[in-house]
Amino acid sequence: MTQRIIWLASYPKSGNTWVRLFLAALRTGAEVDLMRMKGTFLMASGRSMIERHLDIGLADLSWEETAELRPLAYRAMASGPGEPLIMKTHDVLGTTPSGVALFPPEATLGCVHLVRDPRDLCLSYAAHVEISIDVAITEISNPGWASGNASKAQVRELRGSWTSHSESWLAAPFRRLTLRYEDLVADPLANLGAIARFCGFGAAPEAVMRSVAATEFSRLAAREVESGFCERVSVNGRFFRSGKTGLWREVLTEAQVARIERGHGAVMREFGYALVTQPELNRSSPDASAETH
Amino acid sequence: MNHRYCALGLDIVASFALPGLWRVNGAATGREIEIDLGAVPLRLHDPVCDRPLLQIDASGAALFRVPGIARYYLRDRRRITIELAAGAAFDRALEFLKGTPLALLCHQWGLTPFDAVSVTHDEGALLLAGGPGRGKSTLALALAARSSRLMSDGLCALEVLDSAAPVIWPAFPEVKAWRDSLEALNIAVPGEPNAGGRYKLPAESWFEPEPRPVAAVISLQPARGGVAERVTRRRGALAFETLMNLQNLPDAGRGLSPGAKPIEAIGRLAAQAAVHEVWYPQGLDRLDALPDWLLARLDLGGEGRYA
Repeated sequence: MTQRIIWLASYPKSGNTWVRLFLAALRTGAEVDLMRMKGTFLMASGRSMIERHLDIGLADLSWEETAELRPLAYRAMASGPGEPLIMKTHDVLGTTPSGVALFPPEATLGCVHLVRDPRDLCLSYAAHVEISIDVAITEISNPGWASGNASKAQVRELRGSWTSHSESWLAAPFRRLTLRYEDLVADPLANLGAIARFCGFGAAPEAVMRSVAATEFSRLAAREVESGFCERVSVNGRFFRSGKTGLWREVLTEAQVARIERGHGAVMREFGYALVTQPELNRSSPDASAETH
Repeated sequence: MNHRYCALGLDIVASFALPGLWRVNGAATGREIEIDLGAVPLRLHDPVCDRPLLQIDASGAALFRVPGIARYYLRDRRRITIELAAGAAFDRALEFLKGTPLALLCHQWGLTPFDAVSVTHDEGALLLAGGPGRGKSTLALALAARSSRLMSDGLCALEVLDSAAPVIWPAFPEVKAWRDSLEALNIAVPGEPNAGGRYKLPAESWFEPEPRPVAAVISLQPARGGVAERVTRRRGALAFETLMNLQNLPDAGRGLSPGAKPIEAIGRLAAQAAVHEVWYPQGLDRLDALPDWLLARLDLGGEGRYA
């Protein structure tokens, strides 16, 4: 077996789609069709992909039975020579019900771990699935949070809470690049370029610049208005909504901020997200492009 | 007493009942398969195909396992032995018999197994294709209200007879659907869901057991996120590509089929059947209107609006 898989791991609404679009544009030299999203790499929870590698229909298996089979599928995908396989996931880095590593280290080349301020994340997630902010805060605080059957094209993802998800990937037993969404927004050229290098894309700086430009937020938002975006869940909203960071300061109530910081403050500080309800606990920002080998 | 059934162009015989298969009185296809229960090897010696759940050796014998449920041993193109896992229920083993093991035998008999829901339309068959969760079974149930009969819900088999049009062999007289689909169609939810969360509906009363030529293939795409609904005709290489993606077990089945039958069959089908890509709004609130909208556009193959 070859270590071929690079997990593009993030909690929902943390920049995963943007990074996929950037890498796809870099690889193909062309913009991605938002109606089809072909070439934007694999989804670790993609039902069809898992079924094809296991030669079995999963629809009559329980989610526990399916979870036990997922590592087998990933090992099969990683077998044989070839370029790295980049695979998106929102799963916590954990185990199957029987205790087997869900994402086999022996099949893994590394992971790109994206993290976003949970205060902004709640706003984005609430708009994405059309729920209230308070419900969104509850969901991201639930250690057992899992995707349901709403998307029957994917197997169930165990996402966990924002804290447990973040901690699990920070402890990954393989090569890891952790980046904050806010830093991607602030300096996309440097940070998306770092992702490209980590994934083994030997692209020239000019190609990286072109791909950054092709996936610039306003451009994606305009294309979504023109032709739609097949991964958008909400009927009337937009997937590419604002592209800004820190909107939570204008939208969240004091009580909502306090709730989020009470639940996730310890890990938020690890990522340099300054707390407003307990400012005395803040410390200087960490190196944003934390990479382990 | 032997129990005889027909599914996927195969005559299936067993000394015990196989609920959910279509009973027949005698041989229908000449491709007889015997199912029995017994001990199954843990592994094949020297497999030429060694996948996570499936092994195939040079003689064409195959070993397929579903952990915690059963193992299936196929040989001579004519026998499947099933060994239940400890504590496993026979009906679950039967569910998985109706998938990969029979699909492998289709390949070995020169039939091409397709992942598609199929229903009758006039004198032919409509194939509803697309990934999981695209609404294929739901659409089949909605078409049933307009006199279509079920041919398959998930797996069917394509056969090309010499100079005739490619035909689709039906599979099993049952449909599996999610609760929200059943409720949207005002169909009573029967009993408890299976392990995967879907409900099984018997469909003997509206099942078509005879093969039918393919009238059209409809590849369903979710038109969500503002993507416009439309129907487009796929021709030539695009039609061929769409049909190639319907194959069940395309990797494991390669080399099992005598000659190059899958490629030839799919090529013939691409040349003769209308292949459409249909982008329609996901959501069950306008399900009633969808079949009429779809059928009205199949012969036109042009743009349309789903009002």
